[in-house]
Amino acid sequence: MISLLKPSCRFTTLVVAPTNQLAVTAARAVADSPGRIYNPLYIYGGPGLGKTHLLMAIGHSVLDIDPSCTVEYLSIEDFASAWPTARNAGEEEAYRRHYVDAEVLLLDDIHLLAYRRDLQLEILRVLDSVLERNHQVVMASDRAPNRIDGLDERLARRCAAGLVTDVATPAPETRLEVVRRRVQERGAVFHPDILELLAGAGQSDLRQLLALVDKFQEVQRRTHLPLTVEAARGLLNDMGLAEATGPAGGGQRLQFQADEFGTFLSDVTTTVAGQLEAWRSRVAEAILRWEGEGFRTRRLEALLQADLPADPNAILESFTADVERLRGLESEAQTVSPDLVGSPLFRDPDQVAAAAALVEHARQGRHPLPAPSRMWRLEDLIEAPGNLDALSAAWRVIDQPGTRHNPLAVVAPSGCGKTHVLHGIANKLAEAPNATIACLTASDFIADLEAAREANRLSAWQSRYRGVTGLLIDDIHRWTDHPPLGAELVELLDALLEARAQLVVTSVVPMAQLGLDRGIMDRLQGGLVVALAPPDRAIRSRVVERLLAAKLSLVDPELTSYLANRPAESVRSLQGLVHRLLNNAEVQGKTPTVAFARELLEGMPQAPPAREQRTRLSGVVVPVAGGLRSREKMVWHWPDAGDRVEEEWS
Amino acid sequence: MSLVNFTSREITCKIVYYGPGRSGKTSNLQYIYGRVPEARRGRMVSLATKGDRTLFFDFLPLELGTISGFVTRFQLYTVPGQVYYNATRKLVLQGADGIVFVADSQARRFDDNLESLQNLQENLLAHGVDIRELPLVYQYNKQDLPADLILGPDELDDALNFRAVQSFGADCLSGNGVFETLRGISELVLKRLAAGSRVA
Repeated sequence: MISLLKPSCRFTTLVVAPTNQLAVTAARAVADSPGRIYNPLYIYGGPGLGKTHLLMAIGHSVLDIDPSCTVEYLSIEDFASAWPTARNAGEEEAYRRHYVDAEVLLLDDIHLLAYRRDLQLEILRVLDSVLERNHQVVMASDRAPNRIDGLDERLARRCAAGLVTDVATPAPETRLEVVRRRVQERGAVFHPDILELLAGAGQSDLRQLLALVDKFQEVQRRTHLPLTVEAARGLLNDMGLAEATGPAGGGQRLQFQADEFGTFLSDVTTTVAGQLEAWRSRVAEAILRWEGEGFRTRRLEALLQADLPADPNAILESFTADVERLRGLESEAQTVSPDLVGSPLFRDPDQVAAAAALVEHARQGRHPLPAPSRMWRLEDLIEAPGNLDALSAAWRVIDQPGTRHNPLAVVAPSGCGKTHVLHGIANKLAEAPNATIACLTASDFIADLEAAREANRLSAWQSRYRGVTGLLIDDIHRWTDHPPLGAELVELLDALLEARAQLVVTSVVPMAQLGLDRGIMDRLQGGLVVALAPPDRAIRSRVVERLLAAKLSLVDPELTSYLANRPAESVRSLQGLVHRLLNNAEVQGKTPTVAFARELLEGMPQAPPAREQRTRLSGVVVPVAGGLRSREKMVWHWPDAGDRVEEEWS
Repeated sequence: MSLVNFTSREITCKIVYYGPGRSGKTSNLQYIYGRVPEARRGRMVSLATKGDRTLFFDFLPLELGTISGFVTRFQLYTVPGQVYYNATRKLVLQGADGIVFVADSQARRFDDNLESLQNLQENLLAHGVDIRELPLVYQYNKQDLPADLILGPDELDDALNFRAVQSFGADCLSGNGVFETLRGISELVLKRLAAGSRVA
């Protein structure tokens, strides 16, 4: 039935004049808040004064605001022909229900119910049902309810129960405005005098007046010539309308004093109404948009219902700001705790505070990513043939993280500088803008995973590491001590590799012998595997020299040579030797010399013992009794507990 | 005070008629006053000297009734055109929602028009308002005078209407162009209802 509303019958196309201003105002109010005021609204007036236009304008306006609203337009003439048919077909209930269910029922030509008892009773029944539900009824008639002959008294009372308002015959200036608008709407051009002729042609029925304008336009179109004033007057004469244009044959131009203020008022009314109504459209559009995106729109719905809304623009802006805030919070939740994503709180702009609290709570429960140690700088590593490959690979990774060697696996015995290389790379990667680096031991990494498993927060764990641009894990051979790592790790590695986050791992055990899940191994060996060789003599000399130089003003080359020649499987153990020597010398107030070192490290007096008793092989002393044993592994006497620790763990 | 008050459901538009002395600003208001039904108009306040020159300003309140549920009021003001009343002009401009610049079409008043236009710009700037941001229309009054004494609307547009805003030829004594001008400025002002901007 919506299609029965003529598209052109809108408030914006209505000429508002003092003669219809009250009816228009009431109609607008009803369209704004159907069922809340003036229910029913009864508009009456002579034919062609715009009653049907008003009914349809209400229908359009209601639908503009809420397209889901059910609006039914029914003229009594149509009802009178359709109702008996429906009744004869046994479909009367369905037919009645069609109108009873309408949220806005527009009944036109009520005066046609005169003396038709059966139709009156049916309309009365429909009216009662609709009004009982607080749905809106608007009626139009050519006379007031109490002036309709033979109208059931109950029905007359129902009609007059709300607001009864009339539209009166338009003043000449209103008719002129109607003519002007019609001409403009049709894109026609007439001499101004013709417009006045038309307006003064005695047509109080605006419908006929509009038809007259159309007829003039048609004449002009047919002749392909502009209509002259004389020709127009002739046409009016032919139609019997000349009388009103002035004395017959006098050719006197119609004169009336234009109501300039009335026209001004009409214009202002149209502009104001258009501007003020626009906000309802904006609110309705906003509801559709945000609902479509899954947000709750109670606040906006309440705004539409409000009789006296506060500044709607401010409310719309505030609502939009809340939606944006919720989006931001949900995005943050995606990183902080993906379990929260999809929470209804992120879809309810009235719950922004609760959503913010939820994310804040998750944020507080999140630990910062483990950072690399600042003490290990890649630049401090001494280049030597044994570590050249690893260092070159490290610098290439730093230059092109995530793309060149990904993952990079560094394999070396303990104490050969794997951790130094790993943290050195991590520190360099962390210098890049927007870099997020996680650098930790394999044990810590697994502990974190297991804790997440226990707390059922695996997705949060994954999210925590998925956000990194570099993940560097030390000593992955320790993963073999743990239960199966599961698909979570494989999933994480895949995600990081796909996102081109740089992976670096170190292991004491050669990769091929790690014995981890095949899926994990495939991914870890997919890049470059480099080895760090145990320090050769050149590296040892440089390390010793650097350590002595840090403490002593003058470095004895003989001492350097002696210490570099000491048996040391790793840089770390060599560092332990030097630190032990320097600490002891400091405690005893002596200058570290070769003799002092020899006594300390080999347990010999300063005068070298007879060498012939023992066979010395590069710092390893072979006792006479047989068997190969390093003297440094034997406990002679420990100056303090700290030294012991250094010796055993360094 | 905003143009639209959603709480009290009121719309108030302040329109100021600006222009050089004797250009016809008061005549505009007098004509409007004469065409507005009594019920719709308030008392026109006009403080004039003996020579019918506006001393302070004219004020004409118009009650347009309830439109779309909003009580709608127009307040029409004129400013004194004489150079030495600049303080009053500045005061009247305060809170204006729109300006009608009433120019005298007489060729001999050309410089006065320019001077007044510059003065308008300066006074608006003193309120922190750029003339380009405020609804403005031009009215070229006294177009009924002999053609050899006046400049036509096109010539005046070229000389004064740098922004190419709406302009209206007018003859305030007979009323030609008066309501057209009012409608022009009203439409501009009302279309900015949502923005609610006015001279601070």
